[in-house]
Amino acid sequence: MKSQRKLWPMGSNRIWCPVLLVLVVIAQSGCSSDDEAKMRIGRSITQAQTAIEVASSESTKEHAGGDLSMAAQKLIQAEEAARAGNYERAERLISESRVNVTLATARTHAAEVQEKIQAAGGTPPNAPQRDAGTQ
Amino acid sequence: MRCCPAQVRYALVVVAGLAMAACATQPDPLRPARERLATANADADIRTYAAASLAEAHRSLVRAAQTGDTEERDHLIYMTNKNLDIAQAIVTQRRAAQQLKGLQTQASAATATTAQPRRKVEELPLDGANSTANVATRKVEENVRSPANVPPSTDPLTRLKDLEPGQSTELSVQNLAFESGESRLSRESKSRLEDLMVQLRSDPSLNVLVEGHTDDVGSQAENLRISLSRADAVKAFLVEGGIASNRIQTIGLGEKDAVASNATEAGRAQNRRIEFVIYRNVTAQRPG
Repeated sequence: MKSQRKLWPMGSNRIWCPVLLVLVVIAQSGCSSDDEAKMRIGRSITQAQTAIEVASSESTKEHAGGDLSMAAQKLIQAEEAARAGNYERAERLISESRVNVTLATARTHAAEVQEKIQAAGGTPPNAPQRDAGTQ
Repeated sequence: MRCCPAQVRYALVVVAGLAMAACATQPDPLRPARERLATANADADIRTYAAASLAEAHRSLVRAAQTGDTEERDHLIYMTNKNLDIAQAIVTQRRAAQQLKGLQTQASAATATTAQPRRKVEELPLDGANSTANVATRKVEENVRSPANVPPSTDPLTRLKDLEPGQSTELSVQNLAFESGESRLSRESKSRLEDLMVQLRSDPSLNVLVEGHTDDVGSQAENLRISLSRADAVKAFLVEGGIASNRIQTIGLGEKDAVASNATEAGRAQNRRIEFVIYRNVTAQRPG
């Protein structure tokens, strides 16, 4: 009688093969979630870059260039963090970039109205402005 | 069993005391942001016009106080400060807009040869002969102009030519429709503004201040942004039609200057409007 071929490993392999199989599956799922995070961060960086480009009018560059520069710097740091695999840090830096774009827009609107006041012969109200980049 | 020798016990107490003292003198990293937030909360204008930014700053600071991650805490403190900067910029713009409006009013009144106030506008048939166009009127103090000197006219646009140098008048258009958001006027809205554009084109000494207004639906910060964006869209349309850009100024006043109650849809419709303050240059000659 021919011996039947065992489909299930015998001896110590009986334990180690399934364990290795499970480890491979876990590693594979980790890789795919890492890819998803990388894609998500990549999209967010692209959107934040677009926001900077849209906000970069001549008026905004003139009145809030510091805030725009800070936004761009934060985005560069976010890209570096993403390349290093530190996605949490990258997301923080992206949100910091976006808030600087919003601040640049708000300051530009305020400055434009103040210019209109000066053109009309008035004196704009003084308002304390923090420098870009200070915490 | 003997416990630690007395010297060791005393040394441990001293070390513990020094450690506690060191901890007590560590600066609180949240304190500057807390103080800034408290100052902003005490500013009525910030609470009124920049409520969204103020709320976001508050949320960030609360999360900063709760997190144990240093990097996350520093990030949240940064966001708190930036949102407070945004709130301050919004309030600066708002205060400047109010001041500009006051200056425009003063300029038109102060340089008139006779102290004539704004003329009352009763109707604005911006859609031509259709007298059912939405109209809002503004109160004026009095009209000292002798009726005998005023050419009879029922159309407020044609009365623009009667403005003296330095005089101004107000026109209001409600429910000016914009395409999907606030960036572009609808075709119907453009046709409603055609008559005004013709008047401005034919009389280069007339300038216009375009005011955007909204109802109170949505946040004040958003309404401020929308109202300015709509005023800019109207300006863009007029500039496309050949009116020089430096003759047109824009302001977004949000929901602040309501002309009707926002409790009803009819009232909100009245508040969603564009107002034009049209004035003749001080040095201009009135067209014959």
